[in-house]
Amino acid sequence: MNHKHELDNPYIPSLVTIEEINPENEVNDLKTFKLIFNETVDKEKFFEKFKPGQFAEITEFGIGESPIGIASSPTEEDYLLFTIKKTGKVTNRLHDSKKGKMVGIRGPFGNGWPLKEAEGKNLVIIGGGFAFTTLRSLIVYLIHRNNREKFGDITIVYGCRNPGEFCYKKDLEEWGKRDDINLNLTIDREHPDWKKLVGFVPTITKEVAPSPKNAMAFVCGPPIMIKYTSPVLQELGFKDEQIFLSLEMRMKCGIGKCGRCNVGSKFVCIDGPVFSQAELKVLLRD
Amino acid sequence: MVKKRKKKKEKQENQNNQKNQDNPKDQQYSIEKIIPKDKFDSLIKGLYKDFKLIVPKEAENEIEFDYLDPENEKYQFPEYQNLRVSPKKFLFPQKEVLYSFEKEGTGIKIKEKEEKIDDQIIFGIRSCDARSYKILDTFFSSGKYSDPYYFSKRNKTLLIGLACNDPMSTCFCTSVGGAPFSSEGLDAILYDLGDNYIFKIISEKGIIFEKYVKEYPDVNKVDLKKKEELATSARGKIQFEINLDNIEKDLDSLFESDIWTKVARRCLSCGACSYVCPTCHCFDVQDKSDKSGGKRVRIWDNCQSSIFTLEASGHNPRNSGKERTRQRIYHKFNYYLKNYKILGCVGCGRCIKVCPTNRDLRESLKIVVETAEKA
Repeated sequence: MNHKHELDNPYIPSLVTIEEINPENEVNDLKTFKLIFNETVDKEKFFEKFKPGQFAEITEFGIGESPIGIASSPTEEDYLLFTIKKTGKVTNRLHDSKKGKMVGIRGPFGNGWPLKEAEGKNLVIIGGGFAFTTLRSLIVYLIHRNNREKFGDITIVYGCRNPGEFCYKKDLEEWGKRDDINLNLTIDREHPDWKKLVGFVPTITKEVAPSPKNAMAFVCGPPIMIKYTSPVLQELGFKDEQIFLSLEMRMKCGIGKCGRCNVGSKFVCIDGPVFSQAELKVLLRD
Repeated sequence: MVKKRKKKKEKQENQNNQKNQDNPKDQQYSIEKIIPKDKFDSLIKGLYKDFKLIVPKEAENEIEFDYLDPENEKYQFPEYQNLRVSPKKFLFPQKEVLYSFEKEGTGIKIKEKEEKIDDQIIFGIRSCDARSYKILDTFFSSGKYSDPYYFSKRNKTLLIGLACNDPMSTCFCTSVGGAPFSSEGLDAILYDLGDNYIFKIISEKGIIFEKYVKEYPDVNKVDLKKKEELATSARGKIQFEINLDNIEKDLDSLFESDIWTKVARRCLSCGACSYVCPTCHCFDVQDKSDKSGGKRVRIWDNCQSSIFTLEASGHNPRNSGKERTRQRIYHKFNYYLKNYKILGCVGCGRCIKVCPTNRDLRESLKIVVETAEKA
C-alpha cells in the first residue's frame, strides 16, 4: 500500500566488526569502540546519510539493542566511533567484548546538528561529561580542511567533574594547539593536576561565549547543565532560535514506530535528537 | 528519472484511493446485492476459494476473531455486538519475529524473515475497527520509514464490515467521527436486515468481490429504506455524545492542569486498555537467543507501564500515573491531530469495558472539555 522512501527494511542491522576498544576515563566505565563495516555496500549506504549529531542502534546479538550517539565524523571515512557508558545489559556486554567481535548496527537515525544553518556563523559548542560524543563528531567535521572556512569563529566549552573524566584527550590536545579554535576545558572543583579552567560550564560559558550576533550555540550535556546553561545564553542575548540542544529519551526502534521517545507531538528519534530551544518551548514536555 | 516519476504517480494514486474511502459519496461503484441468510454460507465458501477468512467465531467464553475452516464448519455470524479484543493482531501481532540470526564461529549470519502471506479478508469487523485500520495505515506509513512487517500483511488484506445494528452502552464512535453504519476504511460492507444481508462494495479494491456476489439480486428501495431505518435506530442507541471539535486546542492549554491527577486516580498502570485498543501500536523489542543463534522479536507494549520510558540512568520522564495517563490521552486526542490531522481513537469503548477499576475514557474527555470551557 504505502511503501515509500526507504526501501530497505529499517529493522535489519548491518554487520560491523569491533576493530578497537579504547578506555576513555579513569574509572573505566566509558570506552570508545571503533567499528568497521563488514560489507562496503552497507558502509556506503550509511555514509550517504550520515551527519554529525545523529545516532545509531547497536546490537549485541541475542542481548538487545541500544541507541548511541555517533562520536566520529562523516569526514573520518573508514570507520565509526561510539563512546559507550557501561550501564545496562547491552553496554555491559559491549564493554566485555574483545577486538574482532561482530555486532549489528542500524542507522544513522535522527536529524543531526543544523550544519547548513551554521554556515557563515560563529559557533559556541557547549558540552558536559560524556555527553560530548556527538559534539566531537560536530567539531571534527567543522575543522576538516574542506569545511573549516565555511564557518566563523569556533568556541568550545567542555566541562567535567574532574580531569580524569575528559574523553578524547588526543583530540583535545590537538584542538588546543590550533589557532582557529577557542578551546575552554573546565572542571567543577580545583584539582592538583589541573592547570586549566575551574568552574561550572554555565559560568565559563558566560565568560567565553561569542557575541550572539550571527552566532549559534550547540549544547549537549546532563539535564542539570542544560538547565543552568540556557539562561546564561539567554542573558548573553542568544535567542531561542539560536540555541540547539540534543535530547535523549528511552528508545527502541529508532524510526518513529515503537512510540516511547516522544516529547509532546515529536519523536526524539526521527524529529530530533537536535531541537532548537524555540521548538522545545512549544512542545508539551513531561 | 523515469523511476522517480513512477513513484510520484503511485503516491498520487494512493492518496486518491484514500480519498475515495474517506468520502463514500465519491465512489462510483454501485454494487449492492441482497444475500439471503440461508445463502450466506455459500458466499463464504466462494470467497474461501481465493482468500483466507478471518471471522468472529465462538471461542471458550467469548467470541473472537479467528481463521475460518469452512470445509469443516458451516458458517453464520455468531451473535455479537463487538468483540472484547480488537482484530489488530492479524496485521500487528502481539509477538512478531523481526529477523533471526545464526552464530557461525565468531561471526553472525542474519536471516531475514521469509513470510508467505496469502490474500485474506477480515470479515465481519465493525465500523469502528475498520476505521482503526485507517489510523494504523496512516501511522505505520508516516514519515521516512514505512513499517515493512505491518504492510506485508496489510497489502494482502481486504476488509468486509458488518454494520453495527446494536451498539453497546460503552460505544461512542459518533463522538470521534464514526458511526455504527460507517463504511469508512472498508472494501465492502454487510448490512444485516434480519432475513437478508445487503452486500455493498465500497472501495476500488473491493470490486474484486463483484464476481462472488453477481448471482444475487440487486437491492431494491424497500431494502434500502430498511437499512436507513436500522442506521438511525443504531445511532439512537449510542448513549454518549461529546463535541470534540476543539479537543486539540483544549488539550494544548491543559497540559499543566491539575485535572490529570484526578483523571489518573485509580489507574493501576496494568495496560489492559492498550492491549484491547484497536489503535494502540507501541511495541517493545527483545532478543531471544540460545547457543546457536536467536531472534529479535517485537511485542506489544503499553505506555501506562512505568518502565515504558525508564532510562538506563534511572531517569524517567513519565514517572507517575499522572504523566502516563496524560500521555495516552494526548497521544490519541492531540498529537495525532497535530501530526496526521486525524484522531487516534475510534470510540469502540473497549478500554472502558476492560478497565479493572472502571475508569472511563469518556469521563476523562468530559473533564477535559468542561475544564477548557471554564478557562
